[in-house]
Amino acid sequence: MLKKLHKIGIRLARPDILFFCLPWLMVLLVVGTVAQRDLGLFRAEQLFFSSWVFWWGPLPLPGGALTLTLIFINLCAKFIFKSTWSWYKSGVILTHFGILLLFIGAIFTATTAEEGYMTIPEGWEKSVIQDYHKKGFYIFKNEQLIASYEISDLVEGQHIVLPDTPVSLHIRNVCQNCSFAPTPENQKAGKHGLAEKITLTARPLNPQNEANMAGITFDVKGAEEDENGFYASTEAAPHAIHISVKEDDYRLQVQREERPLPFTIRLIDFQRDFHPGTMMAKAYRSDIEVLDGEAHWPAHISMNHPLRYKGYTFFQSSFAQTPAGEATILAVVKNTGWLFPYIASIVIACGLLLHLAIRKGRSKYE
Amino acid sequence: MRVNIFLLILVVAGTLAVTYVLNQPVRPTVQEVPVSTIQPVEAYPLAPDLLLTSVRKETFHLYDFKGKIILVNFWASWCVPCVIEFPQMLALAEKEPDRLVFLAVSVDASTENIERFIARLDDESRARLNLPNVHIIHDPDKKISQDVFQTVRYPETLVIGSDLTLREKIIGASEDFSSEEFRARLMEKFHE
Amino acid sequence: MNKFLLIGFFILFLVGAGACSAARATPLDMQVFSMIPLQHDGRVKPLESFARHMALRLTGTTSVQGRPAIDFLAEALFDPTRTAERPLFTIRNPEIKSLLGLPEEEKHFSLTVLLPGLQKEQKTIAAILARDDKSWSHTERALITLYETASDLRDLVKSLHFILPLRMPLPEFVRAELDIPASEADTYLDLKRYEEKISTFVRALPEEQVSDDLKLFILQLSLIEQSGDTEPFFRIMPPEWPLNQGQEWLSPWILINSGMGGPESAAYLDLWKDMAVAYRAQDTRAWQVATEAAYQKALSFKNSGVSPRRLVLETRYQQWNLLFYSFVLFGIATACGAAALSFPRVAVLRYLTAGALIPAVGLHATALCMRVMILERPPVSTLYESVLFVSLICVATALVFALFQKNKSFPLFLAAVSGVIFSFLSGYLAKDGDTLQVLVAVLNTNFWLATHVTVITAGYGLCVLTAMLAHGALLMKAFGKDVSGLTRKVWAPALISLLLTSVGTILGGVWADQSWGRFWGWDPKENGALLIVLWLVWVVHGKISGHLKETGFLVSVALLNVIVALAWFGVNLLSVGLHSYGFISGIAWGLGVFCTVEAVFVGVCGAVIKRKSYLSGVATCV
Repeated sequence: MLKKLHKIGIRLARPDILFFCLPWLMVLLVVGTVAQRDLGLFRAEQLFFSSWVFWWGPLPLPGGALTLTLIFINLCAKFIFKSTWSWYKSGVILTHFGILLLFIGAIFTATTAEEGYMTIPEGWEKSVIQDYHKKGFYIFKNEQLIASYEISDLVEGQHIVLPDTPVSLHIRNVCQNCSFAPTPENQKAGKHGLAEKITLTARPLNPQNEANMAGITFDVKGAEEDENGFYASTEAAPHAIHISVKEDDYRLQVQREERPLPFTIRLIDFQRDFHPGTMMAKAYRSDIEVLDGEAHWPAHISMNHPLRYKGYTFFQSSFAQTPAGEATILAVVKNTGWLFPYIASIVIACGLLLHLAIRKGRSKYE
Repeated sequence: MRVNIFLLILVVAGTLAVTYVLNQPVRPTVQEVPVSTIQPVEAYPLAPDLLLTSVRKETFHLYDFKGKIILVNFWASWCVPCVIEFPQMLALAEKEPDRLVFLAVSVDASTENIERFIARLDDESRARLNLPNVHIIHDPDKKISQDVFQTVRYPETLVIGSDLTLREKIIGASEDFSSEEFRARLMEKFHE
Repeated sequence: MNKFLLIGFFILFLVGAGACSAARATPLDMQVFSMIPLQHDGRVKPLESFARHMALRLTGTTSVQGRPAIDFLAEALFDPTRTAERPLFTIRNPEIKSLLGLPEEEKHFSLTVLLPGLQKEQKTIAAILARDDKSWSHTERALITLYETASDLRDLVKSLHFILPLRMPLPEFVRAELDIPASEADTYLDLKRYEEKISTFVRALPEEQVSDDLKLFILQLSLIEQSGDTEPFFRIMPPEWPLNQGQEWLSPWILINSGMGGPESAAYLDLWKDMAVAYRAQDTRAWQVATEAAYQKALSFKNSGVSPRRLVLETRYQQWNLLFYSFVLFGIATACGAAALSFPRVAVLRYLTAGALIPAVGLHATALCMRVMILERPPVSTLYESVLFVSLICVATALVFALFQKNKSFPLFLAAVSGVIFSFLSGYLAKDGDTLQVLVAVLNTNFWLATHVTVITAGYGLCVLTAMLAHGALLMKAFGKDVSGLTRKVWAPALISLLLTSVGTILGGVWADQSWGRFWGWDPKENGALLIVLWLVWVVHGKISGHLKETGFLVSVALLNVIVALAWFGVNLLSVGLHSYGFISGIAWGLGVFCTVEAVFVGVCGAVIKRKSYLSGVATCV
């Protein structure tokens, strides 16, 4: 059994795998980079880098994830079955080991990392993170979340029934990126809230995924007479739709997926420094306060100086002008694999240096 | 082979352990960043000594007033905001007879204009013109206002600290000089 | 915009009492004048740098009509009428000429000729500016460039107009009547003090006594008064008041108008007036005294943050132009190196090559050090700087390589060639404007600039050198020489390149992890760096596993040049992502040519080698 495993291992460690995988990876890299111009970074990444298989016309082609996995298996097999330590080979083995660590870190990151952001106006506090990309249609009953649907899963004509009520929602229109136009006067009948003022229509996706504004329109049926009708909800407008059934209040809203943070961040002050006499930013800085249970303490976040706490890391990402005043935008990341690249880079550098030194010494000796 | 597997598992486990420790809920150390990147500058330029002649033909040097805050107001009888400011400053001068000097530098072309301006003041203000710490100075050729202090628009008010350093320039009629806040700020910041 | 253009147009006719009698080449010593500080593009710099920047914008070179940029600046400031009448703008595009109503047969135009047309077409210009600049046609782009440079020059020539003699003097009868003391030449600021007197007098004057001279005089004063309210352009006045502590400098006119003046700036502006008087009289002695006094006064401002050391250093950096001389020396070294390769027995040629190379590297390194001291940051953060740094790494490594080689001609030649190529490239990039730039917030971190960027650009340098070695080896092999020794010598630099690029790339990831929260984001610049690493990994493993034989290995290493060029410059063409330094249109073309040439070279060499080995195989058979 072990022998057989060993045999398979040796097979998997063949250098041919690397020799043919690498050029393909390079092709993917070039194509994926050039494609960013039209598709935007997010979609190009989805299509070429984090996919297992993608289709080129009728042809299925291995994606970045598959190619990297093959290389990883190849390297793993090489490291486990074919790397016998000796002084002369130690540099190379160490380098391989470093790369392996980098891969393992990447696996941890790919499987566990959570990315999001929070927009906090000055003086406000927040304890939820919003997702960059995931958008959903949320249904709250008395402020308790009872159902959620990803926007990309919703289709025209779909029926959603509010649990334990006669009320149902009939989806009329779903747009990943909506354009907004004022509703004509003669079409206002039967429309409620936002839909009365604005008509949503789908438009092509923006390469910058953050600029896409999702929205849906639907008919409400089976509710009280004055609440039946046509509704619209979009992440661009913060107004929620309220429908009351008997004593209960149902809140319906399209928004980016939100995740709770186990503590609260309060923005005290946001500062922008410019290079004097220009509009070119020299530095961004947020003075914040971390509120965790009873304790609270001040902290600073600026470009290249993140704040790490309870596994979350907060980065100065951007800023915005909101109705509530100047707001900071912090990127929030939770990633168990963040330490691996640091260690891997040291191991790889040591390995390559060692290899060079040994080679140099050897060639002199000869 | 076993060595390699062992090594791999050990280092991965070690890294995860260190990550776990680093992520433990400990209070992050507060980074030592100054609250404001713009530091207050302590070095103020010294005001130049000037020979001043008042409309009452008294002459004195600016440095004679060392130890008191000097409020230098550049004004003209034809300037509308000046008309509002002038009584306010007189009121302020009355409240601080020992710690403040009010120098009203008029850039009017002729002294008649100044007299006409004074005649239009209310009685209370006109009485205050006789205070020992109020001086009206005539600067028809703008030797003081423009040549020394580069003032071409009126009103402008200079605050000279009790140590004779130039502290602040108040442009236009943007302050209520008779207010208690202004007086308190003046005394706190510029009087030593 | 309408108002500003209109005013700018009139100003040219009003300001300046005619051109002064300056000779073609000014006898005045510009040394001290060129060191006077101003704030421009977010940084305090000497007038020398500003003058060169303006000259670059106007003419594309660092001189204007054969005169040094600083001479041009002095004239534009102190004798604006003459500058406005110089035919500084070259327009070849007939469409633009007809649009602006310019004579078709001429090529060079002055500001005074240009402004009326620009003013007339300002609606067209505004319409173009309102559109996305990607949709501009060639002519529209040229028109906008012309409009922007003309506006800059207009702002420059009127920046000191209120301390220059007025075009329309105060009528004598008014002066006599009002008892205004006579002066050599009245300036706006001089007469401002008698504003009230004059206006009272004029108002009281009976209608028939108001002469045209007087009317024009009054109009001129009001025009100057209004024209000052544009963007502060010529920021020479350091902040004086604690209130104004954003360290923002102001242009003299805005300073006075906004009431930010004070005794210090009044005295400083007086010295500028002295300079103007001395310049207009072309008085060498007075000019010397005035410039010296102004320079000292500028340094004496308490809150200005001027470092005289850096000011002097930057002026020297601009004037010495070390990079140009190193370019020339590299050129000489290349010629000598080529000769040394062709005549290996003539040792003198080798010494000549080394003799030219060593001072060239010295000058280049000195220039880089000066940049580090001026900007107080590591020498690699813009595309231009990265070219300079890669150049140094490349040449220096080749020189070190030469030390350990028996055959020194080849590495010396390599050093010289890479020096020439990169100097040429940097010269091209320098046309973009002032190369001493401040950085945006993300890049504003000395630690990561010093580690990641330095390591990765050093990696680029070594890659280029390795690839050039492979080129040499390929060429020799194509001529039928045995290159197995040389191939072995390519191995070590290839490994060092791999070390530097891979560590540099991972460090980049760590920086990204620190600033944006993700180690890897598939950003174009990151992908470019990764591409180089993958290519090197592939080549190294291919060689070890035997998939790549000698020729295959050499070809792959030679193609490394193309990969580096794509990763380094090609990324800028995509203009997406956080790393793009800016779109440079010429680069696309240059990159295409470079890649084609490389491909052809490598292909031809490979084909010749294949054919030779085939023929020799046939020969052995026979």
